Amino acid sequence: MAEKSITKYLPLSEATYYILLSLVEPLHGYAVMQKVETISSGTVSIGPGTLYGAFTTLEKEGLISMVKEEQRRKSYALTPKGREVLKEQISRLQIMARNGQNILSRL
Amino acid sequence: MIIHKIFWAWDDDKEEAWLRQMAQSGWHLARVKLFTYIFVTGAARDSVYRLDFMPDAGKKDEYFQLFQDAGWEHVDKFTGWEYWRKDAHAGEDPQIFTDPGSRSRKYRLLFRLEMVILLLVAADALYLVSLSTRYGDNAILVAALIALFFFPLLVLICLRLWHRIRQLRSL
Repeated sequence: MAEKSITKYLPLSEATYYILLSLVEPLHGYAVMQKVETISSGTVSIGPGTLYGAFTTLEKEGLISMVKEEQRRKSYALTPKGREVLKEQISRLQIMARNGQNILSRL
Repeated sequence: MIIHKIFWAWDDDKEEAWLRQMAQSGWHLARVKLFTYIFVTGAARDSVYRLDFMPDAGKKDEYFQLFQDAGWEHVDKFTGWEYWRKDAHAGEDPQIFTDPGSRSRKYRLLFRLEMVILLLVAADALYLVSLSTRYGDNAILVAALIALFFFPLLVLICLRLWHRIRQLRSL
């Protein structure tokens, strides 16, 4: 069972989940927007207002940190805490999907 | 062309829709002032306008670069409000906020600021009332009443903003 300091962030919103997924390697803002579109096969897109707010909050909560700043663009990456939160969310989603799959035939 | 029009902060989506209609008629926003919009004439375009409330000037370089990288053009700013524009192509509806929780950020920030003003006005009015009763000075009492006059307006603003925040939260 994961600690309270991790589980208090769950469940993540869809936007936050995809932003954290994208930051498994350091990226700057617009690159995150493009990566989210790609990994979600175009089903999820993040607007700049949403992304800027997410970066601010996630950095304040210690889930991401700024690794580089060049030409007015800041690059962020997951912190160890951010990795733990993401791992916990993915495993919860897997459990939820499995449970849903079992019921699906009855729906 | 100069147009005078009043939009409340919680109705910024109506303001966005109006600016888009103006662009479709060939009038493009150039400057924003208090209850005043200045347009320049040009070709009719389906330009989508989006408003953000971002009074914190400190971190702004990253903010501006992010929006510009995403293809948004900065039109003007006014008392913490940033006006962004992007052309929409067939059937598109470009957004700067793509999830309701983040959309409510601007209303939450504005709400906190309005609450501070509300409390300051209330404290100020009460202080003036206590001064006027102590010194029997009617001029101070009048000043207190003038301050209190703004109180209902501030309460209305806070209530409408709170309502908008609640609307977005339940989505």
